Amino acid sequence: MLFGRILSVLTPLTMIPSIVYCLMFTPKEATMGDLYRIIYFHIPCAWVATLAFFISFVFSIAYLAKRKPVYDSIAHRSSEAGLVFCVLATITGSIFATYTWGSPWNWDPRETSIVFLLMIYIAYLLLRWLIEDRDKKAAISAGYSIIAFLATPFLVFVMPRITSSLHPEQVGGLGLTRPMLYGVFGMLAGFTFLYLWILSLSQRFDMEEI
Amino acid sequence: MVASNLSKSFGSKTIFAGVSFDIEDGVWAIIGPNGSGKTTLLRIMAGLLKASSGAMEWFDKEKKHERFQLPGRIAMCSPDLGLYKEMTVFENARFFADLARVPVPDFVAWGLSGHIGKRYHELSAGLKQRAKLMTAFAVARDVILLDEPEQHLDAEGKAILDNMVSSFGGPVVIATNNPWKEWRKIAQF
Amino acid sequence: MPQTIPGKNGEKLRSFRALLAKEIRVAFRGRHLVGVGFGLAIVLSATLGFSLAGTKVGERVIASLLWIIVMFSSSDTLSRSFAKEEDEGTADQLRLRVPMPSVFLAKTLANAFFVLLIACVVFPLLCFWLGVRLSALPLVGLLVLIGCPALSFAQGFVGYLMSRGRALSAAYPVIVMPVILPLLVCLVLATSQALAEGTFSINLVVVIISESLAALVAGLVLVPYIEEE
Repeated sequence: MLFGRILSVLTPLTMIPSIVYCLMFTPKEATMGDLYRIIYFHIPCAWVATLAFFISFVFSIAYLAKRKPVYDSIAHRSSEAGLVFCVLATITGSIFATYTWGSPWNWDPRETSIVFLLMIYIAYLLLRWLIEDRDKKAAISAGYSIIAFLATPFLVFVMPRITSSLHPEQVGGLGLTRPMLYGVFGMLAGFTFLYLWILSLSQRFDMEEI
Repeated sequence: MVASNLSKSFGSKTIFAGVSFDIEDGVWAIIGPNGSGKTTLLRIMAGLLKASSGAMEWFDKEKKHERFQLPGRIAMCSPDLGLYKEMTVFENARFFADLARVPVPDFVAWGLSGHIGKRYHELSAGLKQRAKLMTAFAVARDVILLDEPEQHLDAEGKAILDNMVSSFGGPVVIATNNPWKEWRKIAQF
Repeated sequence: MPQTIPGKNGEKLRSFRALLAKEIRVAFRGRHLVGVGFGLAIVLSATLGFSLAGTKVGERVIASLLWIIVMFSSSDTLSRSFAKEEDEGTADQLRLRVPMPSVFLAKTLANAFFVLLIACVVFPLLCFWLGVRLSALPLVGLLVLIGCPALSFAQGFVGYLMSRGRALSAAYPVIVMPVILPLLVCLVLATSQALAEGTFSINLVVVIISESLAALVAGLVLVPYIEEE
């Protein structure tokens, strides 16, 4: 409860100044001009999606070990939030790719990985939706979440190395200046608080239902 | 086997509550009408189901056994439990004997010697029940749990079952709505 | 932490051998593996072979076809086998006799054998119809030998999970696909490299083996926790 209240203050306190700073006070990028500013949304979305899926994985393990409904609720709600941020990261990445790579979709390893991740967590939510019994739903989806997360290192570390990539991270970085980096960090903090706030609200809703 | 204050509920529906017992050797019964929770209690005793509350202790009281340490110790025959329909009576019996590391059971004693080459799904309901009971008695090490064991059995089958129950060394627990003898009661629902 | 029952290793091996033999016997006597598994493998291979007749097919396409046909022909043999045990009440018989991880291992290993058998039907047919060079066959054959058990190990645990929830088996392909996709991609990439007879990345084989073994070990560790439910 208190955690939620703190986050409800922290989130706008970090997000609003960060957005204003990123859009109005950071310099233009040398080659892309204002277009690069989408990374202020793209990077935090991708980061929060990864964090949310990791938290879902950790709480799935915790649920199987302790069988506390609150752990299942956190695992579930975190993966839902992760999925939303993952979709946002895909959309913002696609917009960026349209102008820099010439087409919105190129089957770049990063793009392929994100499709795999989306499929995994859509399947996870589908699985939850298909099972009615609450305990069964929690145990089966926790098992699925753990086994699905085993594929993530492959997507994040292996995939980009076995096929060539156009992603800036693979081709020498974005070349961000110090003010731009401050903007990225501010947005990262804001999005992380936003995710934690969403998680605490949705999880509290679950607990009231139980 | 000791149970203290067992209860089981599925969702908001309570099947039974406050069941306590202490079982030693001999024949014991759980008696009650259909839907009263006999099978559920038997499944909890077999370790196939977890009680909603209360404690179930198996075997050694000093050394507490958990549900997952039970495999191999308790045998059960229940309408919910089946044998492999693609395999013959002999293959089924040998398979479960191999799992339990015991010899293949005596088919003659159960009146099944003429059916050992038949696939399980080709048997009549009464013969299927005999095959299931035979397998359960063959693999039973410490305890045997029987859920409506007389179901589908003819007079000869019932006599064989009666004989096997009384000659079994350890505790036998029978869940039935139609007790055909006087046994010590675990619960009457 | 769940433990196995005490017993000498030789005796445990006897139980495990019995479990494996039972899997193979039940699968061959049931109609699903032969009727659907092999049937689908032959029909799909023939349909694609016919559709692509006379066209120049690249290595990547042949590799994708090979693994997609193997994957779909064998996709539900494992989950069906788990679900059948639950439906017919034999799963509880097994639970009373042996720890579930050994049942899980026996089923996954037996399924690896079935996937390999299906690949043994698909692979020669596709090579014959799509004109694969003979010199590429040994390496591709080796990849099939590694890939089939890998596919089975990677989907073993999901197959088991599906049997724990009633009526989930219909959704099995949708649920299992995302989990095995990374492995499938590696298999396709490695097989197409082998077919092209150019440079071959051994790293892909390392990824295939480690990914599938990790899934198998995770399954063995997790099964007792799911059973606790």
